Amino acid sequence: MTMSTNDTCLDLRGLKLAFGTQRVLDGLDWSLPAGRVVGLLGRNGAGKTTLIEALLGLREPDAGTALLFGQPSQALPDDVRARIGYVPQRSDLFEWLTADQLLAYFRSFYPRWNTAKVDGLMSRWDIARDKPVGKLSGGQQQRLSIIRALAHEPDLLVLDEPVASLDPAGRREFLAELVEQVVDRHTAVVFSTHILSDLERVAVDVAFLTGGRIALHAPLDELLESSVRLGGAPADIERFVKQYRLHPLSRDARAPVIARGIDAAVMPPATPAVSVDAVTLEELFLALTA
Amino acid sequence: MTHNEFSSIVRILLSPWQRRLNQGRSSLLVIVGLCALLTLGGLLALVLLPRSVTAGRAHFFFVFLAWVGPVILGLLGWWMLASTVLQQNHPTFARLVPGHAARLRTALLVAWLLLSLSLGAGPGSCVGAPLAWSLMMAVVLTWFAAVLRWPVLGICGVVFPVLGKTGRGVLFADLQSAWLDHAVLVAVLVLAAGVASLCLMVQSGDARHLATFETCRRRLDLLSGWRWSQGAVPLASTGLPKWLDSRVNRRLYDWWLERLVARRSSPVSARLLAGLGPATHWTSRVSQVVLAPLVFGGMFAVVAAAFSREFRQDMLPFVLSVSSLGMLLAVSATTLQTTGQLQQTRREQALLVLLPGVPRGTPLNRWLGWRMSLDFIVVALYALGVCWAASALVGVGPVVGDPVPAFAVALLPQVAWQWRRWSRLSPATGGSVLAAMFTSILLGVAAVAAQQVDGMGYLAIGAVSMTAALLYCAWRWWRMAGEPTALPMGRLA
Repeated sequence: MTMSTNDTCLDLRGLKLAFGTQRVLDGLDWSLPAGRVVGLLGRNGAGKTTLIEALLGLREPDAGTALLFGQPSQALPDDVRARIGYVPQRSDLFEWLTADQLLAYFRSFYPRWNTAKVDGLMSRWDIARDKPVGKLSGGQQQRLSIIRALAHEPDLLVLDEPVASLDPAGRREFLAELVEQVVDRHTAVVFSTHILSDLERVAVDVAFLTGGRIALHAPLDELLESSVRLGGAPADIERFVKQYRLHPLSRDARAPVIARGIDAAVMPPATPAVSVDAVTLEELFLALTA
Repeated sequence: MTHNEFSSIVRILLSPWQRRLNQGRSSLLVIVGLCALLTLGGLLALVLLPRSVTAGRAHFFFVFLAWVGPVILGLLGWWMLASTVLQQNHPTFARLVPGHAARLRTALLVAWLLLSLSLGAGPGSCVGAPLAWSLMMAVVLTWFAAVLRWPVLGICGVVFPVLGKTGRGVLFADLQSAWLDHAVLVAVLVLAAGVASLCLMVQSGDARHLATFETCRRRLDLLSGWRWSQGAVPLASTGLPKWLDSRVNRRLYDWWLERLVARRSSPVSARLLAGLGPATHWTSRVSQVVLAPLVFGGMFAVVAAAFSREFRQDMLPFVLSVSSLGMLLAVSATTLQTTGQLQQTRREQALLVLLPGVPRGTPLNRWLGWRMSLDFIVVALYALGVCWAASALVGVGPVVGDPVPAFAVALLPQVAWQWRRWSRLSPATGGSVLAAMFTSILLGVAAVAAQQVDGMGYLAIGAVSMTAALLYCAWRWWRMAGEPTALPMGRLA
């Protein structure tokens, strides 16, 4: 089943979740249209994995609703489950099974299974079929986990730091596969990672998770084009921001001032008192998740 | 000893307590409270009751009551310390951290000496020979710790009482006379053996340590359920020796899995059960239920064949009782640990619940309860059947009459443990596993006592305890309707 871009595959409203006194998600609202790739960014402990688990229905939120393809994630019907692929943060799962047994096991549940794709990836990524998962290297386990998630050709792919154990070549191959999946099947992808260069290579959108909420969700290119780094005296910068109606993104007073304009096409020019420079994704990450 | 060394040894000694605090568990406080009550009761009775009441055998009973609390706490504390020390004895730390192994050894030896002396002092001051009592406690403590490191030594717990019994007390009498004749030599030998064993337990980070550490870690995980390394992924082990696990269990499990996934029409529940790992799968029970009677039956046969007829007649009932009880404990303990073992595959369960067809919510909660109960009841009935067959085959009356009804009364109500609040289930601790075993033992003892004292039938006792267990199961079945979905297990704990 291929989706149209107007469909919303993921819709979170007022999601709250706390572990004891520690509030991890605090009234989080977020939605994702079909066919979009979004990189979920946040500092360590920001709650990315918790958010992913809550949106998949693996954690019960204290309040709020999580809908996947219009269905509550806590009670997903089988047809919706067949449209979801999930790669958890750690891939050393089912370590007592061989790679072949693992894939056969999962294949028995799904109505659709792309055997040709599985065989192709298994041979291209050089994964021993008869070796127990526990004896594969960390990178191979992660690749196998990715193959398992892609095999049933999901409409929504949720990847929790999927490239953490992969070497640069492995990351490149994985990203190429991901792009192919998106292009061919119009799959929506939620992609949590700390490797910003990968995100710049593949992500269409980026979402910053901080303070238990999505602080900003925007197309990456547009965000980079409409954001600037301002340099100068604080008073001059303040005047400059007001004059050009910029929106300051920096949360940390000690960090460089990063601001976002209303229109990427009309960015303010530098003045003798205030310098205006292009920003990198890393600077945006630091500014938005401080 | 420098201040630094002293403080690190104190920290090692306090680490079991610190671990309990970090885990936020209050069960230890409950045990401490109960033990304090026993001791207080015994002491108050000795002090407050008239001498006519506390004279003779009653005196020993109250002394025992006052002593048993500290002994339970001492043994529990020692067991926790020894397992914590083994867990801290990581090969990397042992190799790279200066003085790591030496400090662990020192902490272990200090605790061993202090506990032996203090636990031996109580009965020693009442019935005499405090040094002998302390040495006996030292032997018990050494054995406790050594079993954690070398489980095969656990067999001494069966062999020693059997040998003591078979010689009509000759072994114990020999030990007593050896002590009376050569007290210093015996003391030196016991101390030397204890010190050597405890020092050998802690390894120094060599290749052998690397090889044995993972096995030891998994064993401790199974015994205690402690998550002592969040980064380490415990293999879904059945707790059997590795060669047996791979040759018997895994082949059976693999064959069953292949059969299941080959047919799309195979029941989802059967596939889900296979996905929960071999440790909790019924295929692993097959080798366990075959192995346990073989081990205990083998022991029984060896004893029966090795001794004279007269000797055998005296001994067989005792061996039968011990082997039957041992087999029942072995078979039931593995099943009672199933809920704890389900914790080991929690991360896999996160993927399983997303699979099409896998039930969620109330149906899943109840299915898991039924499934665990079925496993338990089949294994328990099988074990009871083997005991009954052995009893009938040997044709001799065991020590306390026919043990099978008492075992049945003790074992079957344990089915209540299989109906848990899965989503809030904490990792099984040594305490929870021991609680299940102690409940079995207490119920069995109560059944025997009630039978002998009041002439109350096993059937009546069994009916009462089974009714209570079934009522609990029914209440849990009803409550499961409103509870969060069972898997991933313990995510709300």
